Amino acid sequence: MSSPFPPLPQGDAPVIHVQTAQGQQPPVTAARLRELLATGALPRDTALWFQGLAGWIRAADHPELRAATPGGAADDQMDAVFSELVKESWAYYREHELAGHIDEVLVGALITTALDSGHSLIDLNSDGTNHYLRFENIQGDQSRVVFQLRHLTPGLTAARVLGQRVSVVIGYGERMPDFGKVWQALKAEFKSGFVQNPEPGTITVDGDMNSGYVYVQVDLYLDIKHYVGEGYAINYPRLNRDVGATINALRKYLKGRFGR
Amino acid sequence: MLGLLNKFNHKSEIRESKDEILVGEVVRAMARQGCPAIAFRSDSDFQRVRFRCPKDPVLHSVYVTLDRKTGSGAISGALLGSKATLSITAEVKIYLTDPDDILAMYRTDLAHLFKMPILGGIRLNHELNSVYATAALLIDIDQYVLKGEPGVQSFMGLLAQNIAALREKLASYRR
Repeated sequence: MSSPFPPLPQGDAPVIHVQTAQGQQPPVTAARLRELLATGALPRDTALWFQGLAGWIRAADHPELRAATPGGAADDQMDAVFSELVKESWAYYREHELAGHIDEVLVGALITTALDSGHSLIDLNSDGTNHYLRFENIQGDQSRVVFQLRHLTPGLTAARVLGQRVSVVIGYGERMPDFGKVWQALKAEFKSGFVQNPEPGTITVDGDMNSGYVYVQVDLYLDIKHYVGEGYAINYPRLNRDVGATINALRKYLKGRFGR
Repeated sequence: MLGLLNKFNHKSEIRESKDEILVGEVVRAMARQGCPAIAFRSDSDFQRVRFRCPKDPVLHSVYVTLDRKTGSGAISGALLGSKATLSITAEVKIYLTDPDDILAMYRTDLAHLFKMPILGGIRLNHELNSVYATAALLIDIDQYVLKGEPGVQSFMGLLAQNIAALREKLASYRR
């Protein structure tokens, strides 16, 4: 714990003012004050003041005098125990905190990965548990990548039992040059609507009449620990590999299905 | 005809997305500096991202908030540009405070009560075991977005400069 008090004045000049129940005493040096406290000539609750202090303080409260007062060493020991308890509490607190926001660390890593592959973030919606991200390769082929994430194990207990799991829908979209392709996608989207609870690996189709984009998307469950390690270290090679492989599969499906 | 309409809608989508594009660049740049994003709160014109700074000697975390005021529509964009308020809040964590520390901080809070960060100043505030310093700026997103690497670098310079000022302000509170 840091001390809110300035250090005791050094040197031989008696500049520490002392006040006891008997009234104000003549000023003393730091060495003399330690001596008086150690012998019990002055009690530990003697009030003192010197230049730099905002007001009078209790002698035993100043860390440089605490050990000199009878019982001070024991007090220091108790402070050390208390400090250790607080330190342990912070470790516990951080563990809970990380379990709660590890999905958002993954969201940040996905943004970094997508930007590194030439895309720009064009849509971001998040309420802390559900996250929606849309990217577009604006300067290039205008292809789009979409991520919908939902943290399945937001508490430490769930995370300890099940691991850190996230449900992810990854989508890939391209702008279709003619209305026929978008119409075809809308029909496929209608059929996709019958998939109530998509199982992993289920590919669904989505068409956007407004912008002329056709998306194909797949449902997956990911283990966040594969990508986010100790001290917020991100395993970018693994993330790039997994996202890249998924996008590649979706791109092939889109081109095969809609022939672009 | 449909192609023309799609092209128009696509342009409009990109115009509306300029604030998200900027936020994406901030997330990547902060990650490269060792500050991963740990919290997102976002809707159409408001984005707040919190970054954890495990390697920073002073700061525990940094919040970047982008609140877009104009430019989502074609007319307001042409007339006013894409104006937004950018708030940067830096946080120092105090792992153990004693009553004297807390009293000293309340005095600082009181002194900063009526200080408006939007005017370029830095406002200090403290809650429980954290001390926050906030700076706010009015920016034109168009100056930085879709301008290639120079635009991104220019924005990151602005961000780094403000974070450095906040770090300096908070350095004395680090325990």
